[in-house]
Amino acid sequence: MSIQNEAKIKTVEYVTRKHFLKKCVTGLGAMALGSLIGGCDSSNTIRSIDGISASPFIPKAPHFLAKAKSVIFLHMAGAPSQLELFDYKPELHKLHGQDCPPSLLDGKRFAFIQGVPKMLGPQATFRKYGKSGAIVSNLLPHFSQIVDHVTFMKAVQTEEFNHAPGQLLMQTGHSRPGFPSFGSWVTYGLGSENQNLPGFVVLLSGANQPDAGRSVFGSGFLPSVYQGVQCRSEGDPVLYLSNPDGVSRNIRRMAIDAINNINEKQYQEIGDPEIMSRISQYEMAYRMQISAPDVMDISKEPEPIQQMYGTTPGESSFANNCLLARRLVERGVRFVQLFHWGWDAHGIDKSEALNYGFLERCREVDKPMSALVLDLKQRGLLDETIIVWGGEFGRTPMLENRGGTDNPYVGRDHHNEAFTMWVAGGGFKEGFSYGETDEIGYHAVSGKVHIHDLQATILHQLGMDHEKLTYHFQGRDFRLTDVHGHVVKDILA
Amino acid sequence: MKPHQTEKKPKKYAWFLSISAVLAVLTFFVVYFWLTLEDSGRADLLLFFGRFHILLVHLPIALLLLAAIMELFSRFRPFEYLGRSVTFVLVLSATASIASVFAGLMLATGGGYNESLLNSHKWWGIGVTFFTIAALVFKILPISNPKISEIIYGLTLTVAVVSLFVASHLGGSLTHGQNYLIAYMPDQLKNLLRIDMDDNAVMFDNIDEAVIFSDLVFPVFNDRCVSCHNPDRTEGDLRLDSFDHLMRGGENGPAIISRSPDNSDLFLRIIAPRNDDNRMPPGNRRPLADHQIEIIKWWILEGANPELAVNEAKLTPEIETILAQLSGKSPESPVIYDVYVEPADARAVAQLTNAGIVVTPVSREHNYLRSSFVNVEHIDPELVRSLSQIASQLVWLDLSYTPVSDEHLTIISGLHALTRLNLNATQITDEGIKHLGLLENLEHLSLVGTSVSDASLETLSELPNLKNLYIWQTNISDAGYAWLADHNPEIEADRGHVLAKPDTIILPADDEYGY
Repeated sequence: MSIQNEAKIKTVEYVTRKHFLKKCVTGLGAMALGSLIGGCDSSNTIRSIDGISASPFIPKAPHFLAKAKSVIFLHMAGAPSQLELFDYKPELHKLHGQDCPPSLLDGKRFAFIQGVPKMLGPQATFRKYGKSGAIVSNLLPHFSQIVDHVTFMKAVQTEEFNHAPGQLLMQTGHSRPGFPSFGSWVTYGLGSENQNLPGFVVLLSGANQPDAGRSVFGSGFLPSVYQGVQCRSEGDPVLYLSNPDGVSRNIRRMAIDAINNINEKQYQEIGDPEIMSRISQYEMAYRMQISAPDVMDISKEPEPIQQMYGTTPGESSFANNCLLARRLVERGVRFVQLFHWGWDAHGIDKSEALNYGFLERCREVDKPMSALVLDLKQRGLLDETIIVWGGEFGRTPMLENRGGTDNPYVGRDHHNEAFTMWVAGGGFKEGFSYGETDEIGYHAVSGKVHIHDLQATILHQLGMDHEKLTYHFQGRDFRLTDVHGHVVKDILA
Repeated sequence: MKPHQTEKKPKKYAWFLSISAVLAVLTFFVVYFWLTLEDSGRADLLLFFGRFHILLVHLPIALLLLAAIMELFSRFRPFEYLGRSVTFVLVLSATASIASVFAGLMLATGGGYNESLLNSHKWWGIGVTFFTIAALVFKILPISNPKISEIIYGLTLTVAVVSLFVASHLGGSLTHGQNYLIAYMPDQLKNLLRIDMDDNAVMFDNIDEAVIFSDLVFPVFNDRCVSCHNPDRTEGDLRLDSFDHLMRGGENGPAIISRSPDNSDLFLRIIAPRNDDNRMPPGNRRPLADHQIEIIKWWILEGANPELAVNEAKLTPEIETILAQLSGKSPESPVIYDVYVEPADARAVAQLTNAGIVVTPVSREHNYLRSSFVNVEHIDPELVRSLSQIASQLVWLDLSYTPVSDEHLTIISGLHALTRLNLNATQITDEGIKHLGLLENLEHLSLVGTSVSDASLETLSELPNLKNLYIWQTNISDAGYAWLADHNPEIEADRGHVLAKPDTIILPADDEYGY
């Protein structure tokens, strides 16, 4: 008999009818609460109690030897066009302005394209860079200097062609909300070294939040202590963290002690792991009152570093967030998730057009992301940090023609069959390109990498087997890669 | 001791037996060489006789052991009578050994065995035969000094028995796979005996000349697949006990499509995920090791040819690495993790953890540890000293941004297992670096933002395993950097990076955005 079955039987023995009747007198409310927060799977509760303690971030040993210990995920929300940045298609130039052949349209669904769209040639010029000869467009003049540290994946694939499900698939492995995000899984699996900072920090920039909302960094059915903690480079680093006027740190301490005391009693009574989460979150917040302002203050960085990233302390920007990400990783934070919003260049207005807003986004990310790679490198941290860059999908080689008519500006529609992402550090190959698309960048031809493959590969570099990193919920084991994913060995050094 | 008369008679018939044995040997010789004559077209016949090796080989095993046991027991009075039969048994044993050796040599011509293992088995087997005959000779040959004769006899018989154990174990490994005997040994016992169940265990002296199929691919099938895919138990109508059967395929058609692993049923099954019903080996059995899968993939890509040798095939970097590991030449692998280390003292780890120091095993498979002082605000020298309790286990140490200074480095120099040390933004100076010369496993050293200068370069250049050195924002001069590159080209020193200002930044066509 396995230990889990034994636990289940013990639970059943414990919750006898007599016990039920006894509890009914006082416990109907608790039952209602249980159904609200606990689900119906009794073994879930038992196992979680064993699994969670007052220090859920205690670092844990990976399944096998790890190459990397932390991740910085640069998610370009809105999906940048690979055809203007990395995937150079001279053939598409020749087809520019012609009607799209029906073979590319038959049986396909698009987010906006209707009827027969025109082909759209590359809206940038390209050149080879570095010893590796990686092809990069003129829109990323800083990034082209660091291509020899990077592995490109040119044929990444996803199922989704709308932003919210696409972002969810990228960050949680599922297209529907309710599943733990990448950073939650990683901190659940490995804990975090720094006990005074959250193990999973989220930094947002751009005009909007990610389209799928906070569920892209939520903890899903994992204990909520593993959700991403949003920090800011503008104003208070963490909202509602500082004490209100007139409340001293001592009074705060006493208040937390009192609350935790009550919570612990309730935990003894009910055994809901979420109570444990709450206790540890209060403690974490208290410690963060001291540690967070110090770490989050990028004005402490010397001037040359500020210039390298192109930061302006005090404002909310991708550059500030990149510098912050480095400071956090350096201090033992496990997973830093950046979202930079505004890449959805359809061409319906200036801010979302390849010839306007898109150029602006390129300028915003080009220097900071390149500086981040080099800065980690010169500190001896790049080989133990994985940097991932990419959107939730790619863009079509066709000009977007919303409603069958021309848009006022140049843009491309969503495309999920092939797009480019890059990774750096963390034991990935340096100066390498994997996968190819056809001559117009429409289909993946070789070296396909599905989102689940990418997730499995990143977990692998962190020393975790994506098939073994599971959580038992509602009667079955769940994992980040659902029931898919292969480690892409070809891109590992 | 023995009566004179009983001694003479057996010797006479022993002589008769010996002569028959010599005749038998000669017969074997003649048959063997007749069969192995080049282009004789008798290869099948050779294998036919050869396969009797498996049967014959058990005779000398039993007979030699019996002779030794009889010899031993005859020293005790109730069993004294056994002594008279020892010679008889030895003669039978010698004859049977000789027959086995020749049958074995014939069997070996068929190939399909791991070469180095086969070689050892052959020579140990011949050794058994040699020492059995030697024992027999000293048993029956009249030597002037019977005492010496007796001693030499005892020695040769012992050597014969010991060689017998080795030879039969090697033979067992050949037929059942190398780890057959210990595969299910309890883990505790394995640790105790320091047995490493590494799939790499096969070593090649000259891997370039190895035949990919028979030396690299087939042993994997033999070890992991043949138990269910053989003539007697033919799961899925597929046999993997020979090249021909492999290529014939099974009930789902061909198992291998030459040059196309992605369409080869066998390959797709060995890479299928654990929960896939089609996966092989099925159920909860251990999957094939990654390097085994890579080798099989490579062999299929190269045309699934049974004769192709390693040096005739196209090598990829991955395959080169695997081959280097298989031939035991792999200086770049993290060697230290391959060496077993005892678990660290739990109390020492608890003491460090309670002080806020992060101490984590590098993985669930290893007892090696990594440690970080990221949560420690004030460094107590005693705390650093307590690291020496886990010196044998500690491989990664992060002391960056702590007030660690030179005095602590004397303690750190005793952490001899360290492969990775981060001292970024600490108070250390050239004085402290002197102590680091003792860290001979160190591969990665970060000294960013310290006052280390050219004076330390000599010590650093002599660290035997140092590969990555980070000296950005230190006092190391251009000349020092050049000296280091010249003096120890193995070390890649990083002095920091800058982003060049690009010629043009592409902006929107009009300036409505206010650039």
